[in-house]
Amino acid sequence: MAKIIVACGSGVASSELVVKHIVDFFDDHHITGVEVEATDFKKLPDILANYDVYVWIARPNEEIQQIVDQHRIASVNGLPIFTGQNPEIAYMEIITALKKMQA
Amino acid sequence: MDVLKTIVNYVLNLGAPVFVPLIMFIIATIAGLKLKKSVMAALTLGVAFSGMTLVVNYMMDSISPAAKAMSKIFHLSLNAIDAGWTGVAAITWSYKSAFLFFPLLLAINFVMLSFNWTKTLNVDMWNVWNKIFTYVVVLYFTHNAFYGFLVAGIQIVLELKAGDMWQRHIEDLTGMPGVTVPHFITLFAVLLQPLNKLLDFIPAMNRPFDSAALQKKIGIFGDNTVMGAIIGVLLGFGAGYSVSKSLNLAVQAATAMTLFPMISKLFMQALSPIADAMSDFMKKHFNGREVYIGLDWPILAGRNELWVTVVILVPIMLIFAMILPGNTVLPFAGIINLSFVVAALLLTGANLLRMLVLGIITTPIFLYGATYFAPIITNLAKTTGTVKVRAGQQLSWSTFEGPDFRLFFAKAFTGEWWAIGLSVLWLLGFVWLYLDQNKAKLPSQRYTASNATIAATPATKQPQPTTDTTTDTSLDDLDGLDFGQTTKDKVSTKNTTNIDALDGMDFGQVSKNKK
Repeated sequence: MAKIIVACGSGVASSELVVKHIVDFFDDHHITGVEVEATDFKKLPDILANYDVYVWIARPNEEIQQIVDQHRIASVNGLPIFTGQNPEIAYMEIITALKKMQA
Repeated sequence: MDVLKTIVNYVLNLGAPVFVPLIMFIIATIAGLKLKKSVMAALTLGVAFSGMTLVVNYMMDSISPAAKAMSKIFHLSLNAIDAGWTGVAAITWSYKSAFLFFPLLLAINFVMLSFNWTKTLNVDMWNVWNKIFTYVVVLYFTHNAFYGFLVAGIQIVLELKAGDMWQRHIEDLTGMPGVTVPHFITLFAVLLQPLNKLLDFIPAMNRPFDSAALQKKIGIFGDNTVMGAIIGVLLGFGAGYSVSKSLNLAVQAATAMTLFPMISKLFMQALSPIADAMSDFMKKHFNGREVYIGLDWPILAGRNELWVTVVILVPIMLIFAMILPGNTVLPFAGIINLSFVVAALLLTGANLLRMLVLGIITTPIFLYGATYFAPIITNLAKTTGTVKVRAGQQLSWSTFEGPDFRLFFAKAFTGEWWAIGLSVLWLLGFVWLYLDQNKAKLPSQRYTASNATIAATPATKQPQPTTDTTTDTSLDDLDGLDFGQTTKDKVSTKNTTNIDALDGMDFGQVSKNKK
C-alpha cells in the first residue's frame, strides 16, 4: 500500500481539498492501492516518515525537508492541484514517484 | 400558492442535516455531477452536520460543568464554551440561505475582474462560509436581509483588494509567484497597522529573528490532542476536581479537540464538488489574463513564525480569559488564534517579535469579541438546530474572526452613529493599509540589520521537487499506450507518460523501503 500525505494549516480545508482531488483522479483512472491522507502542519513532522509521497501546498521548511531527504520521501508540489492550473503536472509527479517505488 | 408555501415550509422544517444536503444534491445535479457523486456529496454533508452536533454536544457536556465549577471558585462567569472556527463554520453552513453566497462571491469577483478593479481571482470557495457568517451577524442586529448581503458584499470587495495588496509580499514570504490570500482574517491588519507603526520606534523590533529553533522546542504543545489534554487537566484542577476526575476530563477534552478537525474534513469533502464547479467556471472566463489566484491562508503555513506565535499565545489567551473583567468565554477549540496570526504575519513581514507583541496586545479584543458575539453564535446554533445549548450556557468562538469589521458594519446599519463613524474610520484605515503595503519593502528586505539571516530562513528556500526524476520512469509503460485520442487537449508535461494510460494501476504491494 502506497501512502500519500497532504498537509495544511488545520488539516481540514485546503489539504482535504487536495486529497479529494487526488482521490478523484485515482478513481477516474482506476488506480488502486494508494491511501491519501490530510493532516495539519503541527503534526506533520511526527508522522511524515510513515508516508511515501508528500504533496505540499506550503514550501517545506528545513525540518520537513530533512525528514523528506532522510526517509526518501518523494516531495511533490501540490499547488497545481490546489489552484487548478495544470494539475496534470502534479499528478504526473505523483504517479512517477509511485512507479519508482514499484520498480 | 398555499400548496407551494406548505411545501417550502415542510422542507425548511426538515432541519439542517436533511434540508441542506437536499439543496446540495440539487446543486450538484445541476452542476452535472454523476448521480453517485452527488448522492455521496449530499450524504456526506448530512453526516458532517450530525457528526459536528455529536462532538459539540460531547464537548459541552464534559467541559461546561467544569467551567461552571471553576467560575464559582474564582468568581468568574465563564459560561460560553468555545467551539472554535470548525464548530462555527459547521453551524454556519447549515444556515438556510448559505448557498446563495457562492453566486454572490462569483458575481462580485467577475465584475471586478472585468472592469480591472482587481487582479485577484478568488477560487477559495471554502471560505464562503465567513461571508455567510457576516450575513448572519448583520441580520441578527438589523433584521434586514438586504443589509446582510450588502455587508457581505463589502467584505468580498475588501478581500479582493487585500488579495491585490498582499500578493507581492506573499510571493516574497513563500517563494510562490502568482498566488495570494484574499482571506477575511487578513483584514485584521487594519487594526494592527497603527500598532505596528508604533513598533517602528523600538530598535529591537527592527531586527530579524530566527524562529526555526523555537519551533522545534514548542512543536508538541501545538498538537491538538496534547493541547486539549493540557487544557482539560488545568480546567479540572481549576474546578477543584479530584486527580482522577481531572485526568478523565483531560482525555475527554483531548477527544473533542482531536475529533473537531476530523469532522470538519467531511464538510470539505462534501462541498468540494460545488467549489470545483464554481472555480472552474471562473477560471474558464479569465483564462489567459494575468490574475493572482486567491487561495486559503495555509499556503503561508510553511513559515515557522506563524506557529511559534500561535503556540506562545495559547497560555496568554488562557490567562487573559481568567483576568479580563466581564469575559464569559473559556478558550478551548478555537484557542489557536488564526484570526490574528495570518494578518500579523503578512503585515509585519514575518517578524516574530512584532507578531508576539501585537498578539499579546490584541488578545483581549478577540476575547471581548467572543463575549459580545456569543449570543449570536448561540442563537445561530439554536435556530439551525445543530447544537443543543442548555439554559444559562452559551456557545462562542474565543478567537472570533474580524470582530472589528463585523461589529462596526453590522451596528452601522442599525443607524448607530458611533458605529457609522467607526466604520468610516475603519475604511480609511484600510485605505492607509492598502497604500502603505503597496510601497512597503518586501519582507525579506524590510529588517535590514542582517539580511543574511532572513535569506537563510527555510521557507524562502526553494526545495527541489522531484522534477529530475520524472523522465526516466515513463518508458516502461509504453506497452498498450494509445496515443490516438489524447494529443489535442492534453497539457504537454515534461514527462512522456500518458496520463490516460494510468488506468487500473495498483500500488497495493509497493513500499518505498524495499531493497
